[in-house]
Amino acid sequence: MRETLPRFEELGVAVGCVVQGTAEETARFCGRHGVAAICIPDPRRESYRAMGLERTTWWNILFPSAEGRRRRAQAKAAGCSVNLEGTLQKHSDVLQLPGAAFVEHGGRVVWLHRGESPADIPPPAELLKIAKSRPSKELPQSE
Amino acid sequence: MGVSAGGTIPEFSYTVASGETRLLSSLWAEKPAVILWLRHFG
Repeated sequence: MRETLPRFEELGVAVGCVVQGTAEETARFCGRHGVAAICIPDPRRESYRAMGLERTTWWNILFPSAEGRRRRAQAKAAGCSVNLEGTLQKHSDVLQLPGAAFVEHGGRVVWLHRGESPADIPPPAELLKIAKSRPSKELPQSE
Repeated sequence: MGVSAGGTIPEFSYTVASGETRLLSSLWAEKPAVILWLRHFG
């Protein structure tokens, strides 16, 4: 995602990554990847619940579906393999499923994805495509 | 079940390492935003 950030910036689209850690954990882990500025700590997972993001089962973690395995391999190839230290933080719920949303200026959700498996989160290229498909009136006019 | 497409995203207040409290709505206050909810760090 870090590599794609300038592309979102060019489109006039803000990016936020909500994570399960405390403010300190978030600053430490996201800082290591140079993305502390876009990381949002939610150690009580309030926003996850508000977005209707569900929890999976240990079975699905330990025995992922073919699609889950494909997505994991995709994430690993993109340099996003699982970091055990990060996964096992005190505030981290291993069973929490991910999600993504595109929100218009003003707060209306125009696209929403609730992960159905642990690795089910759209890749940056797909998010960019969604951001590009927004009507130009939603994007800031260039100077 | 939470918010649906077409609905308004719920507000969320959070604290950053400096101790400052911020609102999730500041992300889309001036421009559209992509928001990800990640499972874990890493």
